[in-house]
Formats: sequence, structure tokens, C-alpha cells
Amino acid sequence: MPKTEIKEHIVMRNRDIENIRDLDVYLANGGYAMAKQALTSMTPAAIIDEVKKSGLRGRGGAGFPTGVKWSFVPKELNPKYLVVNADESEPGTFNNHEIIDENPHQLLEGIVISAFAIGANVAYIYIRGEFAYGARFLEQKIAEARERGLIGKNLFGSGYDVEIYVHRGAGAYICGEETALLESLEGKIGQPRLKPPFPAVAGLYAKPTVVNNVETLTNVPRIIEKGADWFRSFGTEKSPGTKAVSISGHVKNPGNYEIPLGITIREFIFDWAGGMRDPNLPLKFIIPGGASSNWLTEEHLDLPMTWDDMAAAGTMLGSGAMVVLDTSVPVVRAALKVDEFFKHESCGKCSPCREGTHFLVKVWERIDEGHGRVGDIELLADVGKQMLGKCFCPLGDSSVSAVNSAIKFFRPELDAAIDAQH
Amino acid sequence: MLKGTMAYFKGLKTTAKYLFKKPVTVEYPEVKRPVRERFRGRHELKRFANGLERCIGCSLCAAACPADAIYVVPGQNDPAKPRSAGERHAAVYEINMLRCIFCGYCEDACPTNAIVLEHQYELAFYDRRASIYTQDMLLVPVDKGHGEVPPVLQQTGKQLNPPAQIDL
Amino acid sequence: MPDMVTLTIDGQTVSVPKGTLVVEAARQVENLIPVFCYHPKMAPVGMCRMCVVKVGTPKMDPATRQPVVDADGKSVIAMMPRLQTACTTPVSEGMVVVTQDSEVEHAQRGVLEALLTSHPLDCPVCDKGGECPLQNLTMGWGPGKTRFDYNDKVHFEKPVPLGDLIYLDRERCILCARCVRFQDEIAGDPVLGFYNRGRAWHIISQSDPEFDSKFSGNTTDICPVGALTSADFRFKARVWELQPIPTVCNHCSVGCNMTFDTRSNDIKRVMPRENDAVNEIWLCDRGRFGHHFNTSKQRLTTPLVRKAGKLQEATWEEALSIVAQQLDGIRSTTGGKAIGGLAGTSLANEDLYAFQRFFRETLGSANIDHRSGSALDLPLDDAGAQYGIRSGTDLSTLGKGTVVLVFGADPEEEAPVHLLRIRGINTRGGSVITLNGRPTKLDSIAKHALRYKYGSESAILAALLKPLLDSTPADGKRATLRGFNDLVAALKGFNLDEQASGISADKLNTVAELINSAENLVIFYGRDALTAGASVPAGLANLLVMTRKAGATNSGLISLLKGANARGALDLGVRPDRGPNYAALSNAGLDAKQMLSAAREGKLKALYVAGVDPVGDNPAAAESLKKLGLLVVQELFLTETAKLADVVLPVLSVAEREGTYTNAERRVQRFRQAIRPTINARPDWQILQALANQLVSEAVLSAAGGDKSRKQTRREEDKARVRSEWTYASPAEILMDIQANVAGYKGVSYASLQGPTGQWGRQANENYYFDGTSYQNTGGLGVQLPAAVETSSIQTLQPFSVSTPASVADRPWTLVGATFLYDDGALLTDTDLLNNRKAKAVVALNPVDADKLGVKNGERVTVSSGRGSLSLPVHRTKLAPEGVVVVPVGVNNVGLVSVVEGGATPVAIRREA
Repeated sequence: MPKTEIKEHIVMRNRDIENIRDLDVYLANGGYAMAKQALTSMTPAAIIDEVKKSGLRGRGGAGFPTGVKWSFVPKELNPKYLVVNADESEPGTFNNHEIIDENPHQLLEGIVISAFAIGANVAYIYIRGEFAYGARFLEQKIAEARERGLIGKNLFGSGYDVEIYVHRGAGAYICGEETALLESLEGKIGQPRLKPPFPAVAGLYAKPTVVNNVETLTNVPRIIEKGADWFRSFGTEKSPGTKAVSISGHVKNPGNYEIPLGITIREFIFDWAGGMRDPNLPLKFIIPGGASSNWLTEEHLDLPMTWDDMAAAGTMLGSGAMVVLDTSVPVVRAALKVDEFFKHESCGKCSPCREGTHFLVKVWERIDEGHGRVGDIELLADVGKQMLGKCFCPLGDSSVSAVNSAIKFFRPELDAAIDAQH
Repeated sequence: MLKGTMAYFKGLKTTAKYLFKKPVTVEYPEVKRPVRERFRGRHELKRFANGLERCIGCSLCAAACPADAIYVVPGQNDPAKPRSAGERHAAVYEINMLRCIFCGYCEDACPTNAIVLEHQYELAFYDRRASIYTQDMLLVPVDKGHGEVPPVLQQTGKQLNPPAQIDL
Repeated sequence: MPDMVTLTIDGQTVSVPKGTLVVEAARQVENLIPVFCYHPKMAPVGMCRMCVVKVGTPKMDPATRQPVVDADGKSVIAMMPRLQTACTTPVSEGMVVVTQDSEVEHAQRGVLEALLTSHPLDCPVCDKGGECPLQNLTMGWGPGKTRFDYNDKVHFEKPVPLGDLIYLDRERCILCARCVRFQDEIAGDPVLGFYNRGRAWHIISQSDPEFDSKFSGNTTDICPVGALTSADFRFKARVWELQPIPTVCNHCSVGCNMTFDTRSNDIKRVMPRENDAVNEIWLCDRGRFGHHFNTSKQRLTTPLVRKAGKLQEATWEEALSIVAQQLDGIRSTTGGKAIGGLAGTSLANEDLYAFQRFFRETLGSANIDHRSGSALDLPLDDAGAQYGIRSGTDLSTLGKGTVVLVFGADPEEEAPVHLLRIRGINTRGGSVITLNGRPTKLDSIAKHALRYKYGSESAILAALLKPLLDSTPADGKRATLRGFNDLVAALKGFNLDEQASGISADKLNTVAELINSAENLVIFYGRDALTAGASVPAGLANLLVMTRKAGATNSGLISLLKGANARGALDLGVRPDRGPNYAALSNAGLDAKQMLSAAREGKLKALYVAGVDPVGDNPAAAESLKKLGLLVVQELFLTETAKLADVVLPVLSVAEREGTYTNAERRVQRFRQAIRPTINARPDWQILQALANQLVSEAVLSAAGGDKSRKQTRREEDKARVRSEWTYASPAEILMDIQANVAGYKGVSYASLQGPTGQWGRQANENYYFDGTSYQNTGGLGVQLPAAVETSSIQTLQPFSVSTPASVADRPWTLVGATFLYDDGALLTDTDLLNNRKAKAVVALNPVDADKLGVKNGERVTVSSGRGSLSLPVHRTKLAPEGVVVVPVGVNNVGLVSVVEGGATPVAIRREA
């Protein structure tokens, strides 16, 4: 099957146009025209409508329709806030990074349009603490845009103000979860909040708040520019558009790719990313959507990369972070590393996750170190079952995916790892 | 008549048999009768090998005691001069031997094996007050301790586990 | 009821109000869903995940929005895919909850296993052991054994002190955040927080000094494990050995219900006893830790009689006969008017009633008072009883529609648990208005936090009353208000001087409107208001009348008087001007101040002091007392006054006897004997009874001096006055007498105080939310007395006038005496834990003012009024507004008493070289 070509990049326009990070280049390529059009000649409802029609789904991981999310915001409660989730901390994800560093103005334009659409005058970009460069860079770009009257008071003479602030996180994975992000943004300890109320009703400072991913908002100017139908010409019916996907692991060409949604995993790995690195080491398994997703194996290679197809296969597209691993990787070590990450990042708020992740790591560790005990696999499965669906937020559930996947696909290998000691 | 006489001799036979056997009577108090290993006699409060009292003043023995013979008042250990392992010790420990029924429930209840019913059984008093055995009377000497302090009692001076280091 | 929701829990159908959480609904059918982080007094958080249950709701047809029904006509239930936390899920119509099945059990066992993986195995040394929810729930729901290695448990250094009062053991902590949430939500002192994350997540104190809250002890009660333990009870006893004796706190006028937990005739700890109408389940730290005076070694142990200039031990017979003979001598020579009596506000109702009977009937003297005669005495407050909060009011249920006006009071310091109650009303949707001369903690939650200038209190009230008067229609309504025209006349031509009062008239109009539109109006007033003149309580009462709230349900005044039983003293006539039940007297006696000056002039021959310390309150009083022929002191401790006494009679403390107190909300509550007295002391009423009986006996009468005819007439007088010999066998009998003779106390008996128990079923030692025996209330809820206004049909407006403070040119500052919770009072004797928190002998001065005077922290200033001066170090704080200096009341070596003139006093301040 020939590789599906992408006509043009929607979010990674830096790959089509050189130096689009510079405001002049961006303006020369129609930059901020859509913001002007939206603020001066469109109603917020019309923008939300257009985004709804485009079928744009949240790129952060859950794939919730963005237009629908915006329409949940109650009109009468003010002020409202737009919060941009740039806390890209899922292991294996680095696509927002590229957008921020290479195509920042499209993101900022998207923020202006979206803020107008939901009626927010203030937008916060919650950026991952480790992205020190990105944070400074964004601030610099915001300052440039503000200087030219593209961000700030009375934009384009519409009388509408949009201020954008950059807030650096302090290095917690959990702050990628929207309510924990809001807590952190308020200056509290980064831990998820009880839902309901949902952020759309009571979010930042208990005011209506929309939290969107960087990539989602970067799509918005192009949707307004070229229309929903154009956007729908990419991808599939239920998952229209493109997705920036980071691929890493044992492939020839790891990196970011903007793919039209709906191509198969096989096509993505073998046609886009150049196939396996070492021809002698075949594919063992794939972590398709970040460390929190369930694993896939060779049998799933023909799965189309859409939210719904991936969900049907029991995993998720997530934030678009595919890790491809070959047979040189021991399953125990892989699962241990994933669970160590979740143990390290568990916020401690709910007991099953706080203690469960620790418990899982302890068991994986002893198997890895060669002290595995008979019944450890059942123990892992049972602890996983005690955690799955019982935690406060999805982090705890995520840590179980490695356990369940490893047991589901590699039970003989795990048994062998334990039996070798006895 | 004859039957009665026969019975008489039968009795004498038994007497004659024991006449040459070693007597079972023990010449107490000159001779003390040995007791069984699991004999439940007077209580002793044990120590660890390092001389610390095993008793942590938890009062579980008092709670278990069916005769309400044990009275414990706990106290807080001075970290500089601990009496027992851990945070707590028995400031007052008394057993009323007149109430005690030597059932051994206190032994069962004790989480640190501090109280043991030993083999001493000479418990007689001239007055009721003397029947109350205090801590000094019950404690074994400092050099008669045994066993190491288990980790669960090494409560003070603990440090936080180092945070997990990851390299993904 | 329209907003009831019916749901099914494990097959049992239950109807509960809308908005009820599943966990609460389950309780109603006695289905105990286990919880750790959930607490009924706080908002749910769903952190511990212990309460997970299966929840299903009726499937809805998306088209018709009607429940889908199956063939049998039953609605189809769609079970939620995940287990839900019962503590965060509100009920909905037709909901189906499954709390007992294998999936739920597996999850709950998992949560317990998780919690136990980092919980140390130190139950034998843990103070919570025996009343520990973690122990109990592990027995009920937990795994039989752990699959986790012991050596992998989390370790922290243990224990760490959180301030002086509380120890934190982080290993035991299960991170339910109850304590943090209590401090944030209920106490309003957000001094606890979390640090780090994951397994290393732990509680820290964020304040300096650590755990700076007056309610810190409550966190040890609500802690579901032994992570927070109180320094007071640490390793004192095991909880199952304790015997809880119901009692009432005698530290302030709230009258918190609590228990003395005793063992071996010693008070080991104090625990709250649940009473939603008084303290819910809370106590302040003073009440909780301030019990040591009961068992203090400094207590008087035997009667003392002055012989050869020295107080020497004596027998009761000796001491009492000396007192009886001397009193009789004075009575027969100069009559009762030469005898005065002071009975303090920590005495029980029974004592106070006996005291006034002893004086009025036996001695024929009207010179009685419950104050000490110092310049810091509070005026007699009648408004709090006449217009007091309506009986049956439960502040813990008030919320939306309720306005709480706090006028001239700092509930945090004067009556701490009232602060929690006011905060609770605010949380439930009520509004709080604070009108104070200085900042208080309540300001932060107040809808209107207004700061008046001292001296303008009556003007502020006039400004609040005026719009209400103007809007009262001229028809029959006015006629039903007695005194309406007088009030109109008093306010004629009144205009608020915004400059002098510090508050704009507009703002006060808004407040007046808010008060007027409120459904319920509760007014708290304290020391500042009481000392600001008679017009202030009167004005507050008038506010109630004008807003039609006088005697109305859930409305009324609450006067934060000093002392646990100040209301009882006023009710029972321990005052010179009125008898029991505020009965007017034909000839009033001397009040405390007058008694002291009469003593100085030699007109007063004998003074009988019970539970009051005139010399301690005002050293200058010693001079007067030295002139007395007889000074009898009935006390717990050898106070400064007792040192001057001729006879000192030791009394039993609140823990050693029984009796009743009447609290600020006029609830009569009973306390019981918790420990056996080990000293040769007697309860106050017994002493008074013994004296009364000796004084009427023939032996004493005949031994008295005076000529024969005079003796004869006096005997006749006595016979008329004295009803009979006193034969009280117990305080219960005195209360019977009180209820028969004092109209307000009708129906109050020990039997009625005992019941009713069963506030929402939580009385019956239910190990569910709170666990243990801690909150069990077997001592009864007390009886709330009706306010006078409740029973009268005509509402009376109190005489009210606007006074303007005379400004004194050379004394531009205002001196205010402020009550602090932790003072040097005798009731904190031996409670060394609180020493560091006690109010310091300093002058609180606003930094701006301090700069003006050029004084730094700790430098001394002289504060002088028309009466005298004091010299104290300066404490720069924003808690004193500009132009105001605040000096603590009840703190040793302050000298405030010789400076202050009634309430706020104009003073001059000079920096000392």
C-alpha cells in the first residue's frame, strides 16, 4: 500500500514554510488575518459552530469534540478563562514542543480566536516547567505580537481584549490533567479536583474555564481560514484532520510526523517512520499513545489510527506518542520503567494510586532483579484490578495498562522470568 | 469372713509393695519440685539483649486479663535515656497476685513477649498489699535480656525513604 | 415533601432529601459504607476511595426523556461502568446502590491493603488504638493478611511536634486530609498543608508559630488514625480504660458539652460530647486542655482561718461557726446592709441561687453582685435574656436567609466555638456582618466587614435604626411597638457623622436593608459592645424589634459574657438591682464597686466572696478589703483576695461535684462529678446551706449580742424572712427549688436536662464516622430557656439615645481592653501546654502609630488616662487600628484596670526614654 501523502501541514506549518516562527514571515503568510476576521466580523457562536462542524477533537488525549466543549461554557458567568495545556509530559510525547518552538504564532492566533469564541479575556499557557526555552520563547513571541497590537487591548478595533500569560509548571506529570493543572495554576499543590463541577462551569478560580491542548488550538486558525469542509478532507469521518504524532523507540526515523488521521499503524511505522531499526530484531510491541496506553502487538498493525478504532482495540491514540519496541526489550524491564514513572508521578491524593503504584514497582523490581516469586504475576494482576477504575484520576488506571498488557501478551515470558529463579 | 480377711491382706500387699519403693513425697521447702516447661508461675517482665525493657506499656495484658489483676500506667520514653524500645514504656506496672488466676492470657496478648509466666510458684503473703507485685519485682535483671529489638519497635530516628530515581 | 428522592440501597428503599450523598442515605437504613476521608461536617473529597460502591441510575430514553421500562414495568437500570465513591455521589431518583458484592468488596479490600502498606504496626503504642477507624474498618473490610513486604513500608521520622499541643506521626497518616480540611473549612485557620507528593506526601504546618489555631485539638478527634495525637493525652492511658463522664466546659459562655475521660480518679483527657445545639462536635483548645486546674496541687485543700494574723488550717466546723457567728454579729448590730456578697460566674446555678437566697433571706442583705468591682467589669446585661435567641434555635441548621451581625465582639477570643458556628452559618449560605472597632478573624468571611471608631457605637446603631423607623408604616404597626415614639424622638434630627464614626451612611443603609430583609437575624455582641454604654445592647435589641425579629424563630441576641455562668448569675439575681428572673426590687443593694467603696469608708463590715478575685482583678481593692471586719473567701485557689481573708473555705471544682450552667444562648446544661475529691473541700451550695442553717438556729441567735428587745424583733424578722431551714440534699433539689420559684426556669430539672438524646441517631455510640466512644452524648442536651420577649405579645423598644464621645484634647488615643482566650485566669492553672500561647502583657499599637511615636517592638510606652497610667512594651500589629491601643484584659502585670474608664478610654501615649 503506498504511503498516504499529506497535502499540507495544518499544525506543523513550519515544515511547509521556513521561519514561520518569525512574526513577519507568519504575517506574510496570512498570519493573524483569521484572528482579525473572527474578532471583527464573526460572532462567537459562529466560530463555535464552525469548529463544531469541522469535527475537531481535542488533541490532548481524550479526543473530546472541541466545539462541544466550548459550548458547555455558561454564558452568564464571568470572567471566563482559556487555559492552554502545554504541560506535555507524557513519556514519548514531544509534538507540542515543536509547535511551540517552531510555529508559535499560529498557536497564539488560535488562542486569540478561541478566547473570543468562549468569551474569555485572559488566557494562560500552562507550560511544562522543563520547557524553559519554550516558555521564554513564547513570552518573547507574545511580547512581539502585543507590540503589533495582535494581543492585548481592543484587538483589531473590535473592542475585545485578550491577554495571554505564560505560566511555567513545576515538573509534575499530573498537572497535565486539567483539574490538577488548574490547581497548580492557582498556586496550590498540583492534584486533581473532584469532578463535577467540571472546569467549563467552575474551573480556574471557580470561574468557567476551557482547557485545550496546544495542538487543538493551533488547528483553529486554519479551520476558520479554510473552513470545516477543507479540514474534513483530512482524516476520517469521525476523526477528521491531522494529528501530530511523535514516534520513538526502535524505528529508523524517529521524530514528529503530522499524519492524516485514519492511516494504519503499519503504514505509519513502516512507510512514514522508515520501519524497524534493526532488520534482525522484529517488532515486539508498541506503546501507541504514551505510557498510559495499553500496548499493541504485531497483530494490531492494521489498526487505523483514529480515536474510535484505537479505543475499540482497548487502547488509545492519546497525545500521539508512539513508542515502538523490538525484541531486544525484556517485557519486565519495560513494564517496570513505565510503572516507575507512574510511581514517581503519583500525586498521593488517593490511596489506591499512591500505594498501588509503589506496590507494582516493588513486584516488578523483584522480578527484574531475579527474585520473582511464584504467584507474582497473579499478584500484579490482582493489585492492578484493585487500582483499575478505583483511583481518583486516570493516572492510577494508567499505571495498570503496562501490567495488564504485559500479562495479556507476554505471559509466557513473565512466567519464564520467574521460573528462571526457581 | 474369709473374704474379709483376704481383703485385709490385699491391702497389706499394697503397703508392702510401696514400703521398698522410693517415696514420692518431696521434702519441700528443702527440696523443690521441678515444674513442667509450660508451667505458668509468677510473671516476669523480660528485656531485650541490649537491656531495654520489652514492655512498651500498651496495656493489652491488662485488657486481656480476665481477673483484672494488672494495672499499667504508660509513660513517654525520654529519647536520651529510653527505658524500653520505641516511644512508650510502662511507668507503672503492677500485678495483684491474689487476683491473678495464672491463665496466661497476658502472655498471649503481649505484642513484644515482655510478660512471661515463669516457673516461680512460691507466692505467699502476710498481707494483701504485699500481693501487689510492682515493676521492680517483676523485671528481670538488666543483663538477663534476650533477643534483638525488632524493626517495628525501632521507631525513633527514622529517615524518609529516598525519593525514587527514574531513568526512562 | 417535594424535594425527596427515593432510591434503593442493597434492596432497601429509602427516601432522603435531594442533595443527600449516597453514604448519608445508606446510614439511614443502617447500611454502613466504610469511609476514611469523608466527614459529615465537611465537604466531601473522595480521596481515600474506601467508600466505592456500585451505582446505577434508571436508563433514560433519549427521545422522550422518560425512564425506559422493561416488560414487567420496572425501569431498566444502567449501572455505571466504574465504581463510584458514595461520599461524593448525590442521590438521584430511582438510583440503585449496591454496597455489598464481590466487586465492591474487592475494591474496598484493595484500598485497605493499600492504606496498610505504609501504615506502621504500632497499634500497641498508638493513642488511637481502641478507637481507631482504621483498626475497625480493617477488621470489617480488610484483608486477613498483607501481600506486601514489611520492609517496604514508608518511613518518616516520628513523631514530629506540630506546635506545642499536637504531635504528628507521618508514618501513621493515611492522608485523608481531614485535618487540613477542618482547618481550612471549619476553623478558618489554614495553617496545615501538604508537602511533597506520592508516598512522600505528608502534612506540614504552614504557620509560625506552628499549628497556630485555637481549634487544633479537634484534628486529633477527627483523625481516623493516630497520626495526630494531643500532647496532653500522649501515652496517658489506653482509651478502653477510660470512663467518660459527661460535663460542661466552664471556661467561657458557650458551654460546650464534653466529657472528662477519667481513670484511677484522674482526668486523662477531655473529649467533646456531641450537641448540635451548642458545640456540634468541636471544642476549643482552652476547653480541651484547660482541665488541669481540677487536679492542681495548688488547690486549697482545707479550710483556713486567720489566727494571730496568719491563715491557719482549721476544721470545717470551726471555720463555719466563726463565719456564722461573725456574720450574725454584724447582722444584729448593723443589719444586713453592712454585709456584701460577691459570687463569681464560674459558680453553678445551684450555688448562685443558694447564694442570693442566703443573702436576701438569711442575711437580709441586697448587696450582692457577680462582678469584682474593678473598672473592667462588664455592665449588667439584660438584653441578652429579654431579647435572647429564641428557644429551640439551632445555629447548626441555619444557613441561607440568616444574617449574623457581630457587633463589638471578637468571638474567636471571647467564645471560640461560636466562631465555628458563625463560620458554619456562612458556609451554609448565610451572611455575616461584622461591626467592630478593630479587626477580627471573622472579617475575612464577612459580607460586610465594617470598622467603626470607638465611641461612635450608638451613632452607628442609630444610623441602622433610622431607615427602619422611617420605613415603618404609620398604621397599627407602630401602636404595637411600645416606645416607638420615644425612639423616634431620640433619633430626631440624627445625622451620622461619617468622619467621627468611620463608616459611610450609605454602607450602613445597605447593612440595614440586609438585616431587614433577612429571614433570621442573630446578633452577637461582646466586650466592646457591652462596655460602650447601655444604649448599645438596647440599640441591638431595638434592631431586632424593628426588623420584626424579636422573639421570632431562629433570631435574637447572643451576649458573649465573661465566665461560664454569667447568664445564670444574671438570671438568678446575683446582682444588686434585680432578683431572680429579673424581678424588680423595691430597694436595690450595692453593686461590687459600691461595696468596695463602702468598705473603704467603713460602712461595709463584712464581705463574702465566692469565686471572685477582686484583688487579683484590681490590686487597689486590697485597701478596701483590709478595712473589713470580716472577709470570707470561698475559692479553689489561694487567690490574692483569699490571702487577705479572715476565713478561706475551699470548694470542689467542676470535676468533683455536679450542677448546672446556663450558657450564652440560655441553655441550661448539667455537669457531673467525674472524680472523687481527695481534698477536704465542699461544694459551694453545701457551705452556704450550712451557714444559712447555723445563722437561723437558736444557738447563734441567742449567742448574738445586742439588747434583748432588739434581739426579739430581729428574731421576728428572721422568721418572716426565712421560709424554713435549708434541707437541700443535692443540687438537684436546689434546681427543683429554682424551677418552682424562677419563672424562666420553669420545667428545668435534672430529668429534663438529661434528655432528649438522639440527634439524628448519632448519640448511640455509633462507630461510624467518628468512631470510638468519643462523641457519645449520654449526658443530655440541656434545655434552652425561653427569652422574655417570646412570651409577651407587645414588643417593647428599649430606651435608646445617641451619645457622642467627649474628645479630650491632650489624650488623642483610644485605649481598649480586649479579651484574649488564653489569659492568666485561675482556670488555666497548671495547663502549662498553653503557656506559650497566652496573651502577652504588651500594648498593641498600629505600625503607623508606632512610627509616629517612634517606638520599635519591645520598647516601652506609658499610656495615661484621667485615672492613672500604665507602662508596657509595644507590640506593633495591624490588629490595632490607627489611633487605638489594645491592651489585654485578664493578664498579669498589665495595670489596665487603673487606667481604663468603662469602655474605650481616651489616653495619651508617651514613649519612655
